[in-house]
Amino acid sequence: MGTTWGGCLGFGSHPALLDRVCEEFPGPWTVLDGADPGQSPPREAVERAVVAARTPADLRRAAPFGALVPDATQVCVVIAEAPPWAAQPLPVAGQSPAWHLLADLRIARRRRGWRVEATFSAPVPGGEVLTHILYGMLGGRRHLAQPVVGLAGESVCGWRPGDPNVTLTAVEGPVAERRDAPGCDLVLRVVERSARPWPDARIPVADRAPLTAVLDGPAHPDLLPPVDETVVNPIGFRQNAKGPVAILTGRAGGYSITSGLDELVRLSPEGELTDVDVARLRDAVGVAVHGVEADGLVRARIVAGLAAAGIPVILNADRIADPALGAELSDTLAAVDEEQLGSELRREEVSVRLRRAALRTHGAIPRWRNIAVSAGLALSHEPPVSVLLRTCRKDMVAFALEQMERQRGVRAEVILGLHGFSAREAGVQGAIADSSLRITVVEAAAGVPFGELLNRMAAVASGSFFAKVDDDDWYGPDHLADLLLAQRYSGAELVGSAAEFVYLEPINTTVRRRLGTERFTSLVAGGTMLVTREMFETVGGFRPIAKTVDGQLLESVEAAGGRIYRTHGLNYVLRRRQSRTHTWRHPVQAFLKSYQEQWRGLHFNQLMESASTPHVGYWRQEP
Amino acid sequence: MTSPIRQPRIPANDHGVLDGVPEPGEWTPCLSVSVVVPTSGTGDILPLTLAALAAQTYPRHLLEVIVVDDGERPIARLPEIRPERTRLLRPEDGRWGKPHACNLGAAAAEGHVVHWMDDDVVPFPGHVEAHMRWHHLAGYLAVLSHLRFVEWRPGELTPNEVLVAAEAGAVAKLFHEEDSTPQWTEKRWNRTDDLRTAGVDAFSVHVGASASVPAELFRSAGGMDESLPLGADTELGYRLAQAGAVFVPDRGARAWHLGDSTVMRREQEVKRHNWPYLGERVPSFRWLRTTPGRGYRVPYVEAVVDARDASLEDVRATVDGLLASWTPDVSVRITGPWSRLGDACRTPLDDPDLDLRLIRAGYEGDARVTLTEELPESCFPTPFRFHCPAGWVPGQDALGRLIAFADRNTLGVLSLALDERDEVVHARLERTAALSRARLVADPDEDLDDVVHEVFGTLWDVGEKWGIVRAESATTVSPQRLQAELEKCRARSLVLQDRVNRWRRQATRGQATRRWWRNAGRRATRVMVRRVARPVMRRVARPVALPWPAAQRGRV
Repeated sequence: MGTTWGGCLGFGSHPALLDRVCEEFPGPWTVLDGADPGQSPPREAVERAVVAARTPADLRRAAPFGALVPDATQVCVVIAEAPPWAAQPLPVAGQSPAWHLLADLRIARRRRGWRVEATFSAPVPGGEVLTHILYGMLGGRRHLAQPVVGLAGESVCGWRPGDPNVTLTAVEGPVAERRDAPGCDLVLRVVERSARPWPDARIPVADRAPLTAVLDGPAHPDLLPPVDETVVNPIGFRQNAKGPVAILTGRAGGYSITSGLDELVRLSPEGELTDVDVARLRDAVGVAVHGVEADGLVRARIVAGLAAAGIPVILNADRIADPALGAELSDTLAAVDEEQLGSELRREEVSVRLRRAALRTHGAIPRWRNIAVSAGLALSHEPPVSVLLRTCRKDMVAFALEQMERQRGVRAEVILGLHGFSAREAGVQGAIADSSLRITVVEAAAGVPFGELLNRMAAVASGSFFAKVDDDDWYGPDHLADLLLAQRYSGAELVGSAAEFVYLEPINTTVRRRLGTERFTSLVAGGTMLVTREMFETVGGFRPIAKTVDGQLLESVEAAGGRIYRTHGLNYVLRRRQSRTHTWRHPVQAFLKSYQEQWRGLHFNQLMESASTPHVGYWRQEP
Repeated sequence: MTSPIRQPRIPANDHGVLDGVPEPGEWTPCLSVSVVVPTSGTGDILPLTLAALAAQTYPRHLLEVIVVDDGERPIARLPEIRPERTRLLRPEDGRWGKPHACNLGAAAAEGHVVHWMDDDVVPFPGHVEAHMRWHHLAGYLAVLSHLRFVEWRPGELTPNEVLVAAEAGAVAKLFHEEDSTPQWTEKRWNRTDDLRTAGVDAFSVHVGASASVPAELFRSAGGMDESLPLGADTELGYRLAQAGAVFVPDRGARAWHLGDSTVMRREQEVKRHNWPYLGERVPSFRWLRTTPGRGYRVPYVEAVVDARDASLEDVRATVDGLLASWTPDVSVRITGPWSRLGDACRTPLDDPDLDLRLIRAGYEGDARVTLTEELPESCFPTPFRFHCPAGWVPGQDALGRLIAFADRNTLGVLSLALDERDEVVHARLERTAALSRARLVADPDEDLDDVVHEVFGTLWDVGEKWGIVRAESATTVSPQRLQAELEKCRARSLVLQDRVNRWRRQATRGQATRRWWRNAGRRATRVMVRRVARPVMRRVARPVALPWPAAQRGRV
């Protein structure tokens, strides 16, 4: 007792910053991002444990190493910088007994970061406090739990971000047993090429070489540490980025991304990208990765990270075919044209395609699914989506089902709510029979309130998510997949997109409005809401009223403490019909008041993958 | 005639979208051209012009020349060297002027294209061909030539020399290019990428010394205005633009202009002469219409208000609002079933058509208001038409702002949503030039607005943004009120200016203070040296007997 222990992460490229944010602790520091998981956890409690992380992303990398933080009476967590979108580091206590001993808690903003100091009446496990702070900041209960992983090797730090439920082992094993269960389902070892044998035959092991090492076999995406989608993601994407194309260059002991003479971001030799770095790159139109020489897989890792954050990456033609990037990402990168980035819409399309490919290939969840499957583990299925499609127009059934039928990349079922007519009627029956979707029909009399019908539909749905769609709007083929992806990286209980594109049928014009996307907000388009079953049941479903059920659901979710996230609006075109045939509150003028771009006729952006009506040119609002 | 089956659609004046402009001599023409040469018979260059025309590369069977002799003394006979098919016309007695001569020539012309050529122009052999290659691409182009003005002494050249030079391909060497003066329009060409980016103003460089236009387009635009003794070509350019023409300058259509033009010799006088005429007829020349509160022959905007099923109050609010616009040259056309209003005996207050009758009674006497039954298809040559539904009132600056916006963005139709009932109630600004061109190029069953969108642009916006409001909430600003506002602004600006001056003074004083303190050290040192150190040194130095010879004390 009477001592101070200090652990730090992410300061490799910013050594001076560490001294600045923790002036009172002179060291020595335990560098957690190079720590050997095999070392024995500290036995002795200390008076004060300081954990300094440069960014929330670094803190998430520290979570698996919580066991290496000693018990302490005072735990101090310092975050040097946090991105603007991250929540405040308010601890969300789980069932841990530690918080019962809490005597004092101080959370203070320090420059661009945070400092949390928790004092207890007796020593508590420092790692737990750290994890709970992380839960508050980025949301807990993120679904990266299975399989239970054992980590070994010194550079294993980035492989399992944000998961406190790992088992740390030495490179030669053995894995410590848990109560009545094996210590883990799978061990990931980061070892040099001369692989040492793994003694425990019951537990499968996946060996990875350190990133900077020269590969001795064919490269593939699974060799890269995953992109932590909770922190490196499109949140905060700026549609109207004004800056020039930034350039990735090498520097002594790492890499940097520069724009003109300004160094925007400094990266470590392992190419780890953090949320703060991404936030700094938001003003750049794109990042060019041309001549930089990088060891091993580092370039692929940087490119994957940038792409996952939705930053357009311009890659040399000869570098695109890097097998470590994965086929989907390589194909998408090949289609990036620097000329196109000048147009805001084209740039956003590129960004959406890149983030899709990168998050699907390199995100932590798909990466670990792949690793687990390669190791022969059985995994639960991806959560299915129930599409709640309600219509009161017979003639729209076929159109609406067609919109859902083209959805790809998700397991979906359709709950078709027929409001005021029966599925046996001519036209409807045929449309349902022609569809290849799994359709459950719910019929209701015309007098039943809209909200009540939706609740009846939800009651027969089996998915983990409910997606509400409208019968007359257009949806891009990745609409549901993108919503699920957004749900995954934002952790919000309800996600939706913005009704940026609106087709004004009475005047045959399509407008694009500037609504601000990729952010937490309290409004999303009613026809694009995707809500978790858990939250849906918590708020008790839709209000049984006839109008504005969407808005009411949003209000209840907010009231229940849920978060609402608005993702990009490129997959959705709202159809504003003749006022006679729709229950519209907004007149046409309201949509014209603040448009940013305008097209004559029905226009689709490229992600909609539909043919627009023929038109020539378009109109852009004067700046 | 083998005119193109489908006319290409040129946006604004961007003729660059026409592809396949053939190189001289590498194509087969099929359209005939009539070169109309109005002459006063006084100059001695006409024989040279005809000689140069005789040597044109354009096929002879497609080229005719019509010389219109407008001089006081008739020309006895045409010169020897001339194109095969050359006719000489003479206006009737009492008719005179170049515009009349041009109209006469054009009326007699048999060609598909009319090509004006002054009698002091010597075209290069490929001149007509260069013009005609454009007319084969689209049927609504006005092609302009590349003229150079050279000094000319009568008798310097003979027609025979011109013919020989033309046949030898040496017309370019007849004069020194470096001594020649370019036409004033060339600067505009340079600035606007050969008028491709000139937008709606391209017509103003239409100069008649050598220009060609399809005969049909010329006739539909109404021919030349014979009341204009000078400047008729500019006015024609304006009307051609309203008829949908695109102006194409061709640097390959070269010609020598012998002697200076009148504009070059007496520019100020020409301007003084033309401006009253052009101000009346060309509303787009806004600088000629700066006087508020007067009317002009061709208004800038024709506003259309439909009085069918509208109340007197609504129509009156709209029409009065339009007439009160700060854009003064607005004419209003009220459409309604006026012929229904008979003169039969009726009870004045219970008349079923009472509102219509009252509207007619209220506006019959206003010269700026016309009452018509049917709306003509086009308001040519008025450049804009503004449809405003009765009951909606545009603010006083609305028309001016709308037109400026439409010009800046070369819009053909600007629709303004006002309200939504069963249909969208909207006002609509139409550019005559855009609709005319759309009619020229549209397929029979095509939506005209779609075509307008291709050749100019169409846009939807909200009326509210442009100050178009319901009659109930409409307000007009009186000059007194404006004056008061102006005074208030002026007073405010004085206060602000005062504050700025004070701050500036303070800032400079601060600077001065800083400078004073920065130099204070140096000053103090100087004073110390002067007042203290030197006397002391002197006093110290005086009694000392120096150990070295005095000569060495000086500075080395």
